[in-house]
Amino acid sequence: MKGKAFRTFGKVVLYGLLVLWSMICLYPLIWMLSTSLKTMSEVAKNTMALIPEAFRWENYVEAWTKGNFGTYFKNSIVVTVTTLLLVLWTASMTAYAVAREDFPGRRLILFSLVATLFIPAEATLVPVFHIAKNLGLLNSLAGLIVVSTAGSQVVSIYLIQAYFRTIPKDLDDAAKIDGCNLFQTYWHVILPLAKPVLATVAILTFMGTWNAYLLPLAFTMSKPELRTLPVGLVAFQSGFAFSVNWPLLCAGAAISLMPIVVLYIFLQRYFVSGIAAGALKG
Amino acid sequence: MKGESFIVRLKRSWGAYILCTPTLMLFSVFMIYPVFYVIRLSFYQWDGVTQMKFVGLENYIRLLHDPIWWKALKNTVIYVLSKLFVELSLALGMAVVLNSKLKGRKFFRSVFFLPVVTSTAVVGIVFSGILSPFDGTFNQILTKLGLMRSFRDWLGDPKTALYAIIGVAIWHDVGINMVFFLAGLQSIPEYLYDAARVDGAGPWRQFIYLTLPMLRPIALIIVMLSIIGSFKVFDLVNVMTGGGPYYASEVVTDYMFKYGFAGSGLGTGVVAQQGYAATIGIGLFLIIAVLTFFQLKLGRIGE
Amino acid sequence: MKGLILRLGLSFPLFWSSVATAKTEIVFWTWNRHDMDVRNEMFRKFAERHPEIHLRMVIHTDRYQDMLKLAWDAGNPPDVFQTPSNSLIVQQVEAGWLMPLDRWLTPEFKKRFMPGTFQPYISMVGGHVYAVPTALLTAKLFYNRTLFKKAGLDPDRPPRTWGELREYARRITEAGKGRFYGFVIGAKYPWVYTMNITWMAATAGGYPFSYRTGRFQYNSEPFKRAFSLLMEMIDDGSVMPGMNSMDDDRARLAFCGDRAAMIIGGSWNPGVFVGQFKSDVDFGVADLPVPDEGRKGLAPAFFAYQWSISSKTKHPDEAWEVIRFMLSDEYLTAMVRAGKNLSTVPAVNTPENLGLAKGMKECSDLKYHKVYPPTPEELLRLKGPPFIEVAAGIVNGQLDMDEALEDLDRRLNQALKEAIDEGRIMLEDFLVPNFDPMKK
Repeated sequence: MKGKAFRTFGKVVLYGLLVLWSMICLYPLIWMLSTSLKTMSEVAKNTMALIPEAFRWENYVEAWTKGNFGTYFKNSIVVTVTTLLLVLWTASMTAYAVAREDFPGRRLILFSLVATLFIPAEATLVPVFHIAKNLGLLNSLAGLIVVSTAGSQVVSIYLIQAYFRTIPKDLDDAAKIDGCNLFQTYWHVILPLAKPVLATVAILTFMGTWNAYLLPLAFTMSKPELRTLPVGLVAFQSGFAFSVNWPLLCAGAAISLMPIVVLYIFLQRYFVSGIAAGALKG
Repeated sequence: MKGESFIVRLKRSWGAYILCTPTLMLFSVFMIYPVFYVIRLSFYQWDGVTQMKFVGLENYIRLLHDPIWWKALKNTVIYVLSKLFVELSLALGMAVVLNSKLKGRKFFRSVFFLPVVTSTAVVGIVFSGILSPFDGTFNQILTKLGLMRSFRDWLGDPKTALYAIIGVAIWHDVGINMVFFLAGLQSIPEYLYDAARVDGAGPWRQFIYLTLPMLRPIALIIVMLSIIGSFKVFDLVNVMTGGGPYYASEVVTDYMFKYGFAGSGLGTGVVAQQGYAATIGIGLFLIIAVLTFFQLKLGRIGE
Repeated sequence: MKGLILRLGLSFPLFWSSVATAKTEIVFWTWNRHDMDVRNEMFRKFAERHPEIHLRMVIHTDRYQDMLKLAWDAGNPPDVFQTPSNSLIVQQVEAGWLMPLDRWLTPEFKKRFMPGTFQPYISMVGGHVYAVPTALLTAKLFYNRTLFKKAGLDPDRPPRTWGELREYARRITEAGKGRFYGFVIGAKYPWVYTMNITWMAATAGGYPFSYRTGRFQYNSEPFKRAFSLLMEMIDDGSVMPGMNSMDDDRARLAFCGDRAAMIIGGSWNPGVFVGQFKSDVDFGVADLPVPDEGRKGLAPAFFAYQWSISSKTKHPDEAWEVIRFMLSDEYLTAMVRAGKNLSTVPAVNTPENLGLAKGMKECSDLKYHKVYPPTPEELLRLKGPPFIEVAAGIVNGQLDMDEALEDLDRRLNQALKEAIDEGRIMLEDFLVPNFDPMKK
């Protein structure tokens, strides 16, 4: 009896903590949503109020049209999805070679990859920009995609190759005996087993590219119609000495948040179960 | 294998090279060249607009004598370590709880992930409100609970600013690590737990002797990602405190940008010192390189 | 929703058709977003009159200078762009970015502008004009009349001296009982210390760079007294709590939300309160308070919003056409009437034009203002923290005031000496032998 009471008590505490953390997670978002429905003067009077005096849905319409969010949204989708696919493709191939094959230069490649992991994209903006200029990649989404891929692939290769190492080497040998060449082994045997890590890389790359700011800013600087959502979002902050339009900023933030939340909620099941399935097979 | 000549190995490995080609092309063009460019820049004095001037090691000597750089480095290390220990233990705890057959676990999993995808611009505005000493919710709750007598300016007090940022950073990032740990937990086959139970192991012993060792591969990745991300932290510090008050919460990357980019506007417009900014970045890089070297030696990652 | 989709669908073909027709394209960069509405309206008229010019307007509110530099690196600079109205313009001239505008600026054309508009290290370098400032900004004290009334103070009698400022702030805070405070400063980003310290020190006869001796003088009585005033007000508890975690925006929101009674700011503030916040706050504008023993120096005013033509442009005449339009009475009148800023053309600053926007007239009262000559501060390669950071350290008690200011002057003078030795700066350019902070 005592044990049961103890367990019930434990459960109550546990749920209490979970609900508390949920509130801490949700509070800023609720604030963001409520601010996105306020007027600026209302924000001034009661900054922290969670319920707007009147729900001004037209803020969203304004953000979408005046802030050009329709165009930005399209650009963000194009850039993110293409980058994501390119990263998955190039990173998994390299990771496969580095993790499963022993070839001259392998260690050098690994070392250079690890060495550049810690360099923030902002630090190399100027030289990257120079190269992009010489390759004629400026002021185009294609150029942005190429550079984003180059930036995101390093950590992805690192993650994928670490995972590949956990897959038994016998599988490759068995495939070879079955007559698979290197590419077929990669495509038909190893990749399907790597779904969990590919899902992880996909989520990380998606978030990284979706939220990237400086590269898209630099690569679209003379063509505002190529801007992505985060760049468009900052445009609501009027810069030095002038004010941020908080409701529009929050509406814009909510709009750009939506795809990731939807993606996560829908993919959560596949994501977690895919990982479990993959690991079991491995 | 060992006896093969270099040429033979080279010939045999053409497949691997083809697989690496796209990456290597992008990597050498957009990573290797820029890195050497930045290294070269660190030996120069340059405002980013007019002529560059070679100054030898001057920037490096200046770096060693720059108290604010050392302060920023110390803050960065505190940030990295706090995030590593506090955030990852929290994430693991959440993952274990939400991996059980708890009612509503799907809801909690989704909600806990939401901060991860909240834009930093919004995080900056919301938390300066929540932590405000005038009408901030956080202060109100703490005083109502009797934990504090008067309100504190968490982000504005030099003593607490860095820790306030770390708190917000943990709030923002714990969700993604929880998801990674969840994935790791789900990959542990159920029959191992059955076997452990048969052997008479309680939940605590199961966790120590079964769960933790089985999580090692994914934990290594999570640790690595956390360290990489923390060393590069910039956005969050910039929107929360801008490194202030008077560098109390300064981190290396933010300090680098203060020199690297020219300001515009009243009283803030100064010439950029891009050579010194490059040196600040390389200083951090060298320190991380040494750390990584030891980690490779100790953890044998990449072997 | 239907309207939205329709509009989106329509905007694409419209956009493409405008690109397709053969026109001279002029790319125009600015960091000003607050006057976008008026500017767009005016350029619609411009487009009707000049069908041969297609203007591509790009606003970079963030990292403008860095983006501009990258655009030059890429060999793809804008044709017309905004330049900083301080000595930094030298850098751009040195890099060969700017085209001299002398050939278009006839004496009659120049005569329209107020004296000082064409001044070395603001719009001129080496005898050539490279930019034309269009706005004059002033430093003012803004006060909340509602809160003055609540505290039993006369809403038509703002504080005139530093002592009164402190006393008023204290009395209002007392009356507020934690609901509102006497004074607010949003110092999260420390550039606001330029307003709260440097501008206030100016009324006590202090200015950062001695135009007579050519040395920096932050370590001087006026600055120390301005620091003491702010720190005493903080000690009194009259400054709204949270000054270090609020940016200027939040501080101004607190002002508009009747939570803080006084704030120091630029003449752009009425535009922010009314135009951007859409606030109905009942505010007054006053000159900056002066030391109790009387004024020792005039408050600063600044030239701003100036436009230049790229040396690389293929269409200099069309580019000038765009600038000429922005310098026209018509365009400047629209800006003044909308309350965006005081213009550099006195003929446009008529009482009727200024009277249209709330607070604009008071902000344009230039009686106690002067445009201080440029200093070389922006051009120096300063080692260690700049003034604004040092100011934050002093106000928060992290630095000792005397030591920190002495150290700052020493570093600034050292950097100045280096710049002179390298031949980057001619000290004579910045010397004004008979400088008097009380004379215009």
